[in-house]
Amino acid sequence: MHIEYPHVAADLASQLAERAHALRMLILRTHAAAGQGHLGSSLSIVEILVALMSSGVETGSWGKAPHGDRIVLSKGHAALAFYCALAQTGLIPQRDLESFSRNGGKLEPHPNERTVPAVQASTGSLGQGLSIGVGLALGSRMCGHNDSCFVILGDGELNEGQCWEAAMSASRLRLGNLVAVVDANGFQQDGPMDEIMPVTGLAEAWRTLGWAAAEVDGHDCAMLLATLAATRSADRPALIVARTVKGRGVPFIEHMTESHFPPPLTAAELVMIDQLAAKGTANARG
Amino acid sequence: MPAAEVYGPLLAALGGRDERIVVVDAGLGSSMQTGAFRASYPERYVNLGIAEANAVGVASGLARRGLRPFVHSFSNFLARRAHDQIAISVGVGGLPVTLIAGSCGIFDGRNGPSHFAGDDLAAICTMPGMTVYEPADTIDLETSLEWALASAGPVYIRLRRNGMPQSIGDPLLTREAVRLVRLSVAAPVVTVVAVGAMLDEVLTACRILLDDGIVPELVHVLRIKPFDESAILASARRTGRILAVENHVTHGGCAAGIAMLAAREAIRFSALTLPDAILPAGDPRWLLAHCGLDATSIADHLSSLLS
Repeated sequence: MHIEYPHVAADLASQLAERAHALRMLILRTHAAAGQGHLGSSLSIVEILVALMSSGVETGSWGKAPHGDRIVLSKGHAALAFYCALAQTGLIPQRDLESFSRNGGKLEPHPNERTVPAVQASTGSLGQGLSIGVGLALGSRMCGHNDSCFVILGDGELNEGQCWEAAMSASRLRLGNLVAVVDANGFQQDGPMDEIMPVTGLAEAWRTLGWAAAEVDGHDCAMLLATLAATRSADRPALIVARTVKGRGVPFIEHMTESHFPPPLTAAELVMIDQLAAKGTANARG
Repeated sequence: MPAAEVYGPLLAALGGRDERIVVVDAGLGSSMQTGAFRASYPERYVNLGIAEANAVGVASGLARRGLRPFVHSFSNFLARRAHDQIAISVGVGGLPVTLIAGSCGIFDGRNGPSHFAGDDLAAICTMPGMTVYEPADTIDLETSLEWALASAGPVYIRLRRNGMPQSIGDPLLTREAVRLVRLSVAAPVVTVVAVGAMLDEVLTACRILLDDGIVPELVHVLRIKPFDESAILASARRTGRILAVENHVTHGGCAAGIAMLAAREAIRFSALTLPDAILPAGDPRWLLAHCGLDATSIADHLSSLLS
């Protein structure tokens, strides 16, 4: 599928980029305050989260009612990014981020719907989120609502057979209200996917299973939004393979296995990253 | 000739009373007797094929939408293969997913050890918030389904698919989670605990003992978790001795829990359970005798215990 670069208003693209930068800095500061966390895979889904949260997804029901749109973070180790996105959009209080990864804290290292009602599904044991998403999409349809469900998966996670069971069932059930976004950062905990267990030809494979599928730069919010709109249809689930960089935005951990669970950034490093991103945004505008 | 379906009609009837019920099959619908439900309510039925992990995950999503999914497969494919999905996708959120687990223990052992679980309770009862039933007859089964539907959290029903009796015992058998059955006006000398589907054999064993002048008191456990110890304690304090009979291995089963209760109360305890062995394939009657769990073996064991 070829998707033209969207002719979005320059100010919208700029707003999305600024929102992504703010989310990235919130993740880095929360990580620094907690002293730990899965940083690399949190940074790779920043633009995916911003695009999804800006796509018209209805969040008013989260933690409150059984119906409404849903975002399931199947790659639960990126909970840090998800919590920060919830805080950025006011779905949890900003001060709750102080409990991230604290002993007995509400914001556990992996999403827990028991402690954070705005979390759509407890995950962390990889491979389970897409099945939950199939159930959410099917259940909404059975109840006559047809609300959308977006599931964020990791490419490493796709080593799990359950993801493929879920992919088969989603197309069989013709779940046009289901979207899977794969954060294809090319790494898993032990190293590059290519050196451990590669998942190749993903978009083509799922097209064969009956999905609509597209690949896109996963750090381009405007392109992600356009691809989401172009890929969805009434009776086929949609797969977006978002090519990303693990550790994106922190030059000294990008593309590194060690970005999975790195030490916190120092105050000076945080200032440097902030300035670097601001300069990048200015250049993009120029 | 296949045994008459007892579960299928009950499920279809339940489906007619509550439109939140969704039946999820994992490629074993014809074995799990879901056909009547599917025929009556096709819009609330889904067969996800031979993929139990996905079936449990999908059911958790349905439950999050306010529906009441009943997931069907054999006990081994649920408790073992989909264990982590039950623990995380369903269990952490405490979602009202009912797992209908057929082929439990030796009552469906014809297909051999790949097709039945004698250890599923060990896997399931350790999950926080899980409710577990093992019905002895169709009245128990109907009660379990009612209670499962009323439950706010996950439920595991250990289902004897084939040969489940319509109704065991006399009308005095009330439907309680754990029920005490006095078999004689004479003072009992032993408390015999029948766990779930063992009630039929244990009741027959008790009648053999009564004929021999030995008076047992019977306690039947329908709800294995959460466990109500009051009936067992009330009886055991009269008799001073407990024998638990269970269609499950010793480790992690209901009998193991009763053993802890007996230890706490300093009551003599013993158990007849499945052996710690890979069991051969065989029909239920043959396997019951092979494992020493048929009525005659139970009665013989009790006689020697009390002599």
